[in-house]
Amino acid sequence: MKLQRVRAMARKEWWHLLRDPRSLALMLLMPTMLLFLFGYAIRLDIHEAPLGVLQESRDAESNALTAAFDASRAFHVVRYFENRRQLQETLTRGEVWAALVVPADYARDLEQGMARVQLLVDGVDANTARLLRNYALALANDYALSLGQESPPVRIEDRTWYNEAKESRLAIIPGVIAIVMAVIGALMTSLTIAREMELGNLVMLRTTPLTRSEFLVGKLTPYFVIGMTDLLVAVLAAVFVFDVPLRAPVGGLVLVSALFLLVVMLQGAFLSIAAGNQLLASQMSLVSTFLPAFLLSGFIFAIENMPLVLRVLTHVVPARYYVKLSKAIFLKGVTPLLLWEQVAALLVILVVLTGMTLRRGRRLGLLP
Amino acid sequence: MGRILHSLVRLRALFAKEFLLLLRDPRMRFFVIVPPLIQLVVFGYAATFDVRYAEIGAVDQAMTAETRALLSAVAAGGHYRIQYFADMAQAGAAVDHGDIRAVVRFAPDFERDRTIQLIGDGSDSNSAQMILGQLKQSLRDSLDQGNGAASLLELEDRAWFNPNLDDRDYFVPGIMANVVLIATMILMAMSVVREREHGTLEQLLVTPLARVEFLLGKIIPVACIGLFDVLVISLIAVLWFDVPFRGEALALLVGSGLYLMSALGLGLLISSYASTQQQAVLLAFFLIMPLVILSGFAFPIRNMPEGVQVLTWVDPLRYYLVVVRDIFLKGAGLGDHGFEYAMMALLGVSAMGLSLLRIR
Repeated sequence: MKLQRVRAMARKEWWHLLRDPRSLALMLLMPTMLLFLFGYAIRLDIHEAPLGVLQESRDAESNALTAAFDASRAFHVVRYFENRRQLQETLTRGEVWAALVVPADYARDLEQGMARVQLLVDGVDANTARLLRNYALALANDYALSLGQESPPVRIEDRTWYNEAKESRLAIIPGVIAIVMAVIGALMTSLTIAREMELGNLVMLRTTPLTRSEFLVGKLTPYFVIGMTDLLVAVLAAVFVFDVPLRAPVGGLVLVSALFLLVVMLQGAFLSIAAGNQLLASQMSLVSTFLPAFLLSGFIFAIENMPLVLRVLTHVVPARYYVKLSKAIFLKGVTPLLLWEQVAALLVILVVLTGMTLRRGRRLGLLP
Repeated sequence: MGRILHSLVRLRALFAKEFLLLLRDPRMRFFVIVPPLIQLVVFGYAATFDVRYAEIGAVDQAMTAETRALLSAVAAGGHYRIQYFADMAQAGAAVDHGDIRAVVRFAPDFERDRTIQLIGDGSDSNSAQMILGQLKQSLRDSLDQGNGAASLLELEDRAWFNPNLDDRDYFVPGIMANVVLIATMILMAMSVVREREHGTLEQLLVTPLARVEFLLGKIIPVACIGLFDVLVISLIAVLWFDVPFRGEALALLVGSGLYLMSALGLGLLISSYASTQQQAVLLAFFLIMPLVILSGFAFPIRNMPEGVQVLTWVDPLRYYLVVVRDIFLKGAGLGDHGFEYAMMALLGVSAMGLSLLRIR
């Protein structure tokens, strides 16, 4: 590999990028804009969920329980129902997420020490339903204690490490960076080689002493620079705008990010060569990056809950390793060394992809 | 009459050309048809927020019969596999490494102090909340059983429409919506700009083809592929994933048609803005990601800040998700979602109108 020829190739690619400022602007701005949008939009925790209440008897005890639900951070009472039918209609329309039913003899039962109330939740969004149920159970327990139930013989104390306030934002933003970069990295490179093949520019390159690997390195260098800039801006935004703590030295993050970026760029380059035209290349890279990175990386859906076949499949999704690394580096403050298996897996994928790309690269018709 | 006939002849020629272009290359044929199906099956299994299985750690420094009984009760629930650690330092290292999601700790003076400590890994806050909630409940249950004491206030909970709180019924229709969007939007976004990049757009412009015919010729073949995907995916959802289909099939067809109209309208708009295929792909992607994230597919819209909620109004996927979920799960019919249908139609017509103005 001759540096001079790589440089010439990279320079040509730069020219090409600069001549299409719209694409360049998209590549540079998209990650940050997406991060901002998602950083604000994605909340898994629930505040003030709309709650409807059916009090079969409006006595002081029943009012007090309703007030306790309304006062909590999780619920907000928006409707008082007259009867079951109203409750049913409102819950079906989705105007309330849950309904609390306080039976007519609640006050009497409470006196006797065995009151029951009912919580009906809209189960269509199962996750929200589960969270609401957890909040309501905790609320009912606390309320019983405040009414003078003897405190239970054993206390259960819970804490959430690395994220004491249980803010889903902190856990999600490092993952969002991974998803966005997985897609941008692959998309940037997936079209560039296919375009040369589609438009026939490669024929001219065949007459030059440029080799396959020089072509690839030169071609990818400018995109690597753009990708690293994107990553840097995203990390700065995460830390300074979204207050995600970066608890480990930034060097580790930069290194694994560079490794991950190389992997996804090579993935794009491989697909680009394999497809040979831009339409197919874009389909392939979109199919193989966005939804896999979104759904199979452990970003929001925990991998250990998936069936065995899928758990095996997640091992070829590079985002899986990077999501784990970036969450750990940001929140847990560990260095990549502690998670060396993840780094090693990315390295293995990198080596395999390089081999595959060079092999496939034969069809470019350049010197070996 | 004659004019319409001529128009139909021209459209037929254009359809033939577009279908040929889309389906001529066997790899393209494969990529248009197979991935949506694979994606549904794969992601149908992957998408769940429920924690049915997790590795958790236990640090039992009290070592009494009671603590051992409590821990084995937790393990007996079947949700958790328990790894034992001698002290918190070791358990903490395992959490750092990501081996375990939570720790249950009994301090040496548990007999006196009567406090159980639960620690969750907040780097995945949703799972942490689920696991801590479940652990608390199961510990509380086995403690109550031991005491024979009943709680003063019992909360009985029931989930409507989905009694087992199965995520799959909720996510599978949503995944269908996403998969169809991704499969068709890129095709659409590339359609006009490809002709422009190859210079064939000029050739088409000198034919008697009208602008509207040209756009219809572009949209309808892709819409057919989209509807085909909807059909096959719905069958898989019902037959393979056992998602109930309680509503009207006609409503699904109309809803999907309007959805494709709005999604493809956006794709066409991209195609009219982009000057190269690369720009088109980047732009399409720039649009697809927010459309998915803001749709309420995985993240409830009501939890978003007001400003972001306003943005979701122009997201056709948002309306389609409501429609398909209600058709599948709540038994909605054609008369039920007038507002959603109208919004999708409005978005579709405006996007197509804009592209019509832009493509000359």
